[in-house]
Amino acid sequence: MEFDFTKSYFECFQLEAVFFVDQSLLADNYQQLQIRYHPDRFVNASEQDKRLAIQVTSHINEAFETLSDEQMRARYLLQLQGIEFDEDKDTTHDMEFLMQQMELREAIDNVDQHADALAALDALADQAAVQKKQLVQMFQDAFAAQHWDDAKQAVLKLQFFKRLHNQIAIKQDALEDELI
Amino acid sequence: MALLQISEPGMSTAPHAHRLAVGIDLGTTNSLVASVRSGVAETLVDEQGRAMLPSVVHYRKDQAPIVGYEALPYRLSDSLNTISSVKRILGRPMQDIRVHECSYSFAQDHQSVPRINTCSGARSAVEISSDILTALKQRAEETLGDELTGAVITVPAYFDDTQRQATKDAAKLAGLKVFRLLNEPTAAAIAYGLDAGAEGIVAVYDLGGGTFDISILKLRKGVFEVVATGGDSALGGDDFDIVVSEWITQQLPAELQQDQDLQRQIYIQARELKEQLTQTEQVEINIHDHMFVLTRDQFEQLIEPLIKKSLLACRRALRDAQFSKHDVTQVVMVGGSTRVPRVRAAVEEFFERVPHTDIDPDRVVAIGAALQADVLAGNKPGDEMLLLDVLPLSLGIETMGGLVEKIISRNTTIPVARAQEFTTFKDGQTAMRIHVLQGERECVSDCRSLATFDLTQIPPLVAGAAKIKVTFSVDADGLLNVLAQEVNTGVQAKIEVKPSYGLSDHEIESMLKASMEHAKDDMLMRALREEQVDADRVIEALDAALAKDGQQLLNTEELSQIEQARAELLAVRQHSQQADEIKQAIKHLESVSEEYVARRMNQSVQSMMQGRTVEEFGE
Repeated sequence: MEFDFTKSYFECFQLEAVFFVDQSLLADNYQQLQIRYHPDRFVNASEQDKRLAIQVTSHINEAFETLSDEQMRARYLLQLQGIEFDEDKDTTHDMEFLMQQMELREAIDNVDQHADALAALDALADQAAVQKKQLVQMFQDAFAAQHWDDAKQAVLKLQFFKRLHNQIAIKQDALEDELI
Repeated sequence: MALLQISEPGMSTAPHAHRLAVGIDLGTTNSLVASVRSGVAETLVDEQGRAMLPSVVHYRKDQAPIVGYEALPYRLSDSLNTISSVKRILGRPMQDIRVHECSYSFAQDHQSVPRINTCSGARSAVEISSDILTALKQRAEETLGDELTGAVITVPAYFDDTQRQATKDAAKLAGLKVFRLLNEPTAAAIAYGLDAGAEGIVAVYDLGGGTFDISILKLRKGVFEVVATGGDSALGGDDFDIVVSEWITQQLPAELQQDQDLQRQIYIQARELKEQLTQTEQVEINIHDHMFVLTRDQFEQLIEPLIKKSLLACRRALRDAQFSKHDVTQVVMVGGSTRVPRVRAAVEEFFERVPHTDIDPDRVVAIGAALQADVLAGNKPGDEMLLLDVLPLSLGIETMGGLVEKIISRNTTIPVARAQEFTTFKDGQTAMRIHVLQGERECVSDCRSLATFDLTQIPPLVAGAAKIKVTFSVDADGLLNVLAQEVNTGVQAKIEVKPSYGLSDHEIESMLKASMEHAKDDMLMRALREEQVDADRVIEALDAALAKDGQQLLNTEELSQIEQARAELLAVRQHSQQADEIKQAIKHLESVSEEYVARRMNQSVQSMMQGRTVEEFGE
């Protein structure tokens, strides 16, 4: 049995390298790989095989997580095209977008002022979801047209929604704690 | 091309060579061991037919510890040497232990690993847990008639890295090979056979003696995936007992409220009352002729805040899994505390679904673990049952200002590996310290400190030029490994692990060694050491006396005889490994000096009669 670490994440799961991914097919193929390589299958194997099993499943898990998430998948597609990302320097300079983000964050912070804070928070989460959906569409269009810069901008903006999502979750925790 | 050859797993196993494997539920209150025999998983019982082994260890001076039912009476009569609920402190640093709730005496000598003083020495939670595991291992080997090839040991899904590591260390110390650490709720789902074709979302509500876990499992084509776990590692049936005993104490007059022994009695009685209230509507209590009644209604009011706390954790786990409670297709109840009718009702109300309660909630985890152990031992080739687990708590590193940067977030499917690049901030910097933490909070002080890594031998370059790639990997048991490499030169930075808490491999090794050495060797060693100390003392005393009055009281021949015996003793003391030889040499010196000692005594008596003090002649 062989495992090729140089294959792309898409090839790992026998999928085409495009933005649209059939999530159920991805999940099926992921499970097949896990059944084959999971360390539990190598309990009585040599130390070397045990270590390999951990490495292979770590790789498969990383691949699965990347392809399951829209922002990570978009970013990975660009990386396959040779577009590089620099964690420290790359960020969007779209002032209008940044203002919008700041307003959303402030609204989440101040959600306690509403009579039904949880409902208000849900509404803000919906608003964020709509904006995110628009960005995903922008990415798909730019990617199809091979406008790499525009596609990269969309990916960088999508990054903000991950943090927004975390902020909403933390707020939800706090509000629920108060209710109990 | 990085092509790897991987052999087929489990293929070397001969089909009919059944490997003995057990599942162990190492519980806070009770522990169990189970095994698959003739295709059926069953808990193994003791000589009196009891499956449960109370997780209580009683230590005695110079004798083996007593574990289980026989240790229970000593909780009252010898409470300091009788340890129960040790799982609550397993893998926890001293500052996390609610000392006021444990009545044990903690040793002050060790910096971070808490040790409990007992009459047979200071014991760590790992050692105490290992004594429980040893008892279970013995029971299994006696029942099954052969040595075990391995075990699956269950842990609360909420256990962090140090708690999991401590569990593995305890097993190692007990001489058990651990196939896998398995989350308790997952084991329960396996016991209910939910892997057999069923698809859907399973919530496992596990309220044990000391811990509460909620796990959300996704079942698909025979594959278990733990999509989220949550809970509270300090919430359980023991807390029910605490609120009940607090209530009882409040009903008593003030002078009885301070009585420590009575407090322990009340606590034990509270547990019995709780159990009775699962069957009856009210119980009568009589403490030192103070009579009162506790109704089930009152009891339910007392425990309601605790149940609410558990349901809050359920909500969180569902949200982490990104499911609503309506997505849940099955609910499994685990743990003795789910026998409490109010708990069952509250869970049913919350999930709007009748929970599974058919299997004894105390045994269900051990049974599931045994089934998994059987598969992992290779007894069921072709079985495609597989468990995918997630990391229970996020892993991160300390950054500037005491904040935590998350490297791997909780509920990430494991095994997993993540790399992070670090750079030097000074010219020629060759070392760097990385502090690894586990937890969800942003501040270092709110997270559990796992380890400090010192990266050394970094090539000296200008500030920011050296790039160190640190790879954090978590294996299938949820345990962390770290690897560091300088990116440009490929130099492997050396990592020195300094566990903030827990035992290093070295410590475990030396503990293992000590426990494997024959007790006889230990005793001989101690005897030798004692004779050496004795010899030193005798020589020292003789030298002091000779310096004072040797010339005065002894003639030349006598003096040389004594000095010869002294030289012989010194030689034996320095070179002999035999306690007896040293003892003989001491005796010889003493007999040669007998006359000298007698003369000195005479002299001091005479001096006293002359009105002089003994002190002036003292050594």
